[in-house]
Amino acid sequence: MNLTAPEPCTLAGAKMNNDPVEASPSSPTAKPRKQTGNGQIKPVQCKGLKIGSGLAAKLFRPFKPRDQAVGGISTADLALKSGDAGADADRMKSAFEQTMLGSTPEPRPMSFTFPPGSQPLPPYTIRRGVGVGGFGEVYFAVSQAGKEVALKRIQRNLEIELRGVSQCLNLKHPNLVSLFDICRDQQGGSWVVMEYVSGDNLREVLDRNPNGLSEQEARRWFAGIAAGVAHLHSAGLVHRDLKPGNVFDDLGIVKVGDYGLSKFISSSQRGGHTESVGTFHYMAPEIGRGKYGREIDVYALGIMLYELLTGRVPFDGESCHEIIVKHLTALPELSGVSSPYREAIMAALDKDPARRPATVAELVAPLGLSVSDAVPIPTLVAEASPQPIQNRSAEPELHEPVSRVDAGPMEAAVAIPVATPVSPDLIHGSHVDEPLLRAVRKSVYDLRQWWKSLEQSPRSRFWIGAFLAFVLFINTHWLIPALSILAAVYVPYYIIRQMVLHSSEQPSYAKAHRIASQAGPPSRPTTKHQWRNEVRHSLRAKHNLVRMAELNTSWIASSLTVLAMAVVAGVIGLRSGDVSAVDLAPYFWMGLVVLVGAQGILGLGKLWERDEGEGLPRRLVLAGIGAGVGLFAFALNEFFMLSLVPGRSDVLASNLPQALYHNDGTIRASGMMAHFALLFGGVRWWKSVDPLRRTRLSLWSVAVVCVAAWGVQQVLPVPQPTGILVAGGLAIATQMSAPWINPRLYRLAQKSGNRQVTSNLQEAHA
Amino acid sequence: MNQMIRPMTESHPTLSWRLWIDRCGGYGLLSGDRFSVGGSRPGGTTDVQVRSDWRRHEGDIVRRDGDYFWSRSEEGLSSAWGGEELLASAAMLPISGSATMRLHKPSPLSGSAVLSLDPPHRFDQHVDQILLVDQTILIGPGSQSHIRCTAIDVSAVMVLRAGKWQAKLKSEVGQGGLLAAKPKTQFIELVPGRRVSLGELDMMLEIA
Repeated sequence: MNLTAPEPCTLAGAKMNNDPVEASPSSPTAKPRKQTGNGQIKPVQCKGLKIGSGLAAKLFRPFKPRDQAVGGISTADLALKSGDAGADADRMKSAFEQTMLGSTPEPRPMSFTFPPGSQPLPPYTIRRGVGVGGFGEVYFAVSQAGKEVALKRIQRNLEIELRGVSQCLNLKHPNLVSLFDICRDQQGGSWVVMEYVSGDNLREVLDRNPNGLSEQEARRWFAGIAAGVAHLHSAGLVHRDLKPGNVFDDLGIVKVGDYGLSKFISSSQRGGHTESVGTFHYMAPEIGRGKYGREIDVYALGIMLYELLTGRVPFDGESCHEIIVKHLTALPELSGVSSPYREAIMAALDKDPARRPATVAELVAPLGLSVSDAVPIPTLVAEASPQPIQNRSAEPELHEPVSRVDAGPMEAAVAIPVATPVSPDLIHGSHVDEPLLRAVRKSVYDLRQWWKSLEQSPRSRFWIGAFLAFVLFINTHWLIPALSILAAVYVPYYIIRQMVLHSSEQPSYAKAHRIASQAGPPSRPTTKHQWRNEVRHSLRAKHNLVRMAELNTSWIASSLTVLAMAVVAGVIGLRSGDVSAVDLAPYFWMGLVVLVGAQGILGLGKLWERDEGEGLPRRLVLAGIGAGVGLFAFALNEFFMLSLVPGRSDVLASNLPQALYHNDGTIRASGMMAHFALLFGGVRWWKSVDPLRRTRLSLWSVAVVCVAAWGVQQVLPVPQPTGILVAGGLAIATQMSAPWINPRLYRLAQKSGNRQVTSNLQEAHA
Repeated sequence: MNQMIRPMTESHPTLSWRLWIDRCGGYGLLSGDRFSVGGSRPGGTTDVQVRSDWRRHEGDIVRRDGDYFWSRSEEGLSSAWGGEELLASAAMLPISGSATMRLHKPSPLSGSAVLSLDPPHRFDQHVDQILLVDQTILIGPGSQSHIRCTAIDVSAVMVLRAGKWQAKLKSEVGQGGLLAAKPKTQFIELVPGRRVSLGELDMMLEIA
């Protein structure tokens, strides 16, 4: 018979003699009984365990579903380098480790040490286990008098936990989970007695609302969180582990819990923290550097506000490493967030802590919130459940309560200014940020409103409509060309703007690349796809300065390549007879055109190396570059006074379009531009300059380009054979001068476990 | 001081239990066909007691042929068929007062029902929900479970036979398909006061 009373246990992780009854011989009863010793650091595992729902001290839900998407990482992966880089890596390692401290997940749920009914800490009787956090087990317990409390048994990181809790013991704020006391049991074990919160935590609420909460509900949550955190800050404390799993809805009052990581930081004392803490998705970038203050809470608040509104975190990834690099480098995608939340989030998520709002009050002020009036008034009427009731529509009248205290909606009771509902289009629209488009949309919206206002007089509506249609009709002769020109200007502008904005996600921290390569993924890639992902990720993490230096190198390489090719072509083409300037001119022309075209392609390739990208926008941009190259080629042709008679086209024969060719058959500038635009847009040049291409120089791709040039020649002929030679030269010059990562060497470096070699390979691939 | 709870060895004809499940919650289990409902008072005798401004006895929930009816305590209607109101699943009980109690029948496979309270109210005895047991209750992460434990991946069945509770893991088709070797599951008896583990499910039954 297995008795439930536990034997004395120690904080040092002695054996807990309380094995549960084996229910089924075949069931997985051999549960892990890992009792981490005090201060012991276990490998980080991003995949978390599940913890019970609906209870207060789910204070320790370390990684809920969002976090479960994160791959694991072990300390072994945090291999350090010597030298300066090692210092940074040390700090990052500290960040990882301390993150573990704050959110230690278990590989799977384990039985709690104390069973229901036991009294390890009189006068409280444990009713059940609630969860296991980074610092120990949490229980729901009841005192002899019937007071419900949450008991946290501190098993790990005792000093950190006790230090944090002791700072918060006498804090009183409606938006903070109350801590009652720290007690010791007869065996010397430490327990934190705290308020039991029976409601859901924000993690669960967000999991039920994957697209985010309504604006009013998001404001209610955020106001409560901000008020609680502001009170912590006013007491000189930094929470350091703000995340949805640590925020609870207790009978309509938002409460911030888990002060286990709180740390006393005065306004003037900011340096040399030895611990870095937090949960990956909510961890401020400066945590890795070890110097931080209350700005890390402001940063976490910004993340949470984003998540409240959109249902997702701004920086997500498939591994802890990827998330951290994004914190360090990427900008949040805010196109789906309306103002003023967008500005508030942008300010809170600034990589530079000095540029974030200095206080929580400063953060929430633009939102029309105040940390002083954010505490909701308790009400006896529960808010409507977000989950639809199965047969609500068919609910008979008799099921309605006869009477109840009708305190009105929660929002009415909350002293929060209610903002005007925002149109879903504005919240979730992906293009609202483009100023011209936004202005047009707003004008259309105003026009529609005005049109609706005419509903009362349909006759005037008809006449106005007819008049407008007539005016539009008689002006079509200039409206259509004008709109076409506008579209021709706007569409490339829009595409380039999107690309430039996209490229602004480039790293802003020089060490991002090093961190990415040092922290490394948890496992070595085994497939080609995994390898590409990993290397692509490291390319994404490069600093702009490094990228620019690489581009300069490529440009120099392309110049040398073109020179070499021109010399070879000249030697072959002019191998006999006298050589005059007229004979040399075509070779100069070809060399210069290839050089300009290759440099354009190399520049775009450098911009696009971060991801696989979409074909159509890239082709459009390449076509624009090609048109420019065509114009340059035409001007150069005129300068060298070379022939403008195009080669033969089997398709067009002599039926050349007049817009592109003169009557005598010579090509116009527009024709040359169109030819090169089609050549550039028709070929996936970014593949030729992708560092992850299979070989440095692929003759096959050169052949493909030549065939493509022949195809373009059939519809838009240019002087030959220079046209096809230019295309082939472009293919060779771009491949020869673009960076290339040799996959074989990369894998060899990985097999040898030498991350330095790998890193160097990536950095020196040019 | 640590206190031991001795497992009960003899059977008890008790119709009321409390079930504590780690990482999940506390549940009151009531067997029978008629359950009295009222506010929590010292010395209260109703089966379902709610910490609220309800009267000591608001009425009875009656189970008949798998359906649940609400019978008010006033006007002498408690025993009359005409005074009973059918309670659909997810229906709110028509009780005057500040608390809102709902009755759910999550599974068509079992006649058992779940009573839950909208916040901020709670049941007496510190439990989160009350289960009106009709032989079988289901535990698991799914919405069709009487006891929904989203933190736990396994499902289990609890059966009340001759006043004794038995439980076993629910066998499900795993990733390996029908032909894959499945763990052998068998009923084990839940002895009040003794903690039992069923896979990830750690629970203990108490006599209320």
